[in-house]
Amino acid sequence: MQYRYPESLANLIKYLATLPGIGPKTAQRLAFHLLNESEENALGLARAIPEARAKVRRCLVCGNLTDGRLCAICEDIDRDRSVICVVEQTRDIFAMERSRSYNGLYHILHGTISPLEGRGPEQLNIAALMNRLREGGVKEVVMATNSTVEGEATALYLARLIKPLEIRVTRIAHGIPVGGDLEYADEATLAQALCGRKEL
Amino acid sequence: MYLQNLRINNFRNYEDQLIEFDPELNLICGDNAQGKSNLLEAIAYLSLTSSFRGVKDNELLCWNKDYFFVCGELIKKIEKLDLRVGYQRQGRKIWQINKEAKNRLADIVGIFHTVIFSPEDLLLVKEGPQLRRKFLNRQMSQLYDGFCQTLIKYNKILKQKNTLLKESRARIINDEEIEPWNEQLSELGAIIIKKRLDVLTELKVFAAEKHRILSQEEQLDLCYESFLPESQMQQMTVEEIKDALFMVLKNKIIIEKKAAVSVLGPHRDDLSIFINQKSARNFASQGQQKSCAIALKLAELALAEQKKGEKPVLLLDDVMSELDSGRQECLLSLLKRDIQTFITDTKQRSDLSGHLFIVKGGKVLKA
Repeated sequence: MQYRYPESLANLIKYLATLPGIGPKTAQRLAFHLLNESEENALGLARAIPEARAKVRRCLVCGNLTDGRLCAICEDIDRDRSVICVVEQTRDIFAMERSRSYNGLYHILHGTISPLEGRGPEQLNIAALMNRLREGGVKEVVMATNSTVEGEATALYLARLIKPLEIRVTRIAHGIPVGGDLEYADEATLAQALCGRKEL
Repeated sequence: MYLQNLRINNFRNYEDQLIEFDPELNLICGDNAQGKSNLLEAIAYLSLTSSFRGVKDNELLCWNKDYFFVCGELIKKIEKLDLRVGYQRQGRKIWQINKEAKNRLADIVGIFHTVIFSPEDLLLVKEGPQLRRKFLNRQMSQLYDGFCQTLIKYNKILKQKNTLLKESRARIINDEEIEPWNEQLSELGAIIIKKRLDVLTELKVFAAEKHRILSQEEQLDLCYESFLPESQMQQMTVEEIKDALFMVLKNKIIIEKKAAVSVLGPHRDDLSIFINQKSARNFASQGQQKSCAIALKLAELALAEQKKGEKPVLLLDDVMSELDSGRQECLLSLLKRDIQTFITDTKQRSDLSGHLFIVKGGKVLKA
């Protein structure tokens, strides 16, 4: 008879293999590692999962992840509350923050409008954004959705929605990467960059 | 430019074949279903990276094989290029120029410029607008860098919009949901229309000139049919076309929702053909329509030569047998000797002096 893993181990491997980027081989390695690991570490990991799942939720204001009611950015009193930067995903906030050149607030849509994937405006975190804007105090909304067909459509949709509130809507620039060579930029990027040229 | 040689591996009915070509005339003869057109398809595949017969890549695979590749050496005015396109089942397509991998279609299309003349093109005048748009798109993608990309992006947006319009059967769609797509469509649509108008201005002159020779002094005219008359659009800038297109699309929203499909834009435009001021589609005889198609193809050839400063490669797929002897003579006399030409035919022609290849059961023999 073919040898099989004990049922409990097979079960662990099965779950590990459902994680993104983890194949059956890596799942096996991780499972053995967890068995050999100190009790404290292995159980710590196990406990961290339900804890994170129970505690982490979306910030009531912007949709970012948080342990409390509001996220750290929304609670930060040093931030400029008159600007909101609209992004697609939570991870986009980290990208924006790394730039260290933005000190306003964020709003996360959790996706883009994409009829092909069955996502319309109702499926996105748009109602909350409109409520925030109607409360007043916001002077500018920066659209930082991706430069894809869907990201562009989402930005255009929101811009039309926000315009009647008489709030300035801007779009981040697209073009040549900083430190990049002109000759390596593709035609579409170059054309975009030309459209957004600035007076020197 | 000319294709010096070609290697076909696991493509259609070819297992592995290396062929050296003549820089001028190459005659490919053989019985039906032996692989004449497949050979031309392979050459065109190297140029367009897709089948000109509209077949999916996995259908081009040789029976029971998992991959195919086509490669060849192209001699251009100032350089020699080693082109290679490969396809792996369930895998990616690989494009290489001089062994260097290219990622995008736009990096390949236009380098090896081909003009293909197949029996389908003889229906160019009579059939629906789709064929005529394809006629324009295929040559323009090869003529202008970036045009291919613009088309791909336009179609992507169009697909999203059409999906949304289809949803209107199940739920109420607000106009605000459609407008972001219309805005993007107008921007790219205006670029496509403007470029087509530019091309047409030049194509008209060549087509009329070729047609005069083919038809003994009949007058051929081409006209771009869009949401505004061509003469008016010729005077407009891209920006103005964009704004006009957006306004027209806005007014069409109700109709589009009802039809559940997009009804207006460059993907619905047409190219009208007139002979002596009469619509060729409705009034021309079969023979006239064929002459017209030949004139259009020869115009494409002349335009490519003028724009690129280099002669493209001409592929005549089974066209000869569709033409009467008078038109055959005329076509052959209009072809310049210094353009590399590939002709497939079931009969061996004694009146043509070129390299003769005999195709039999997926093998090419040099005669």
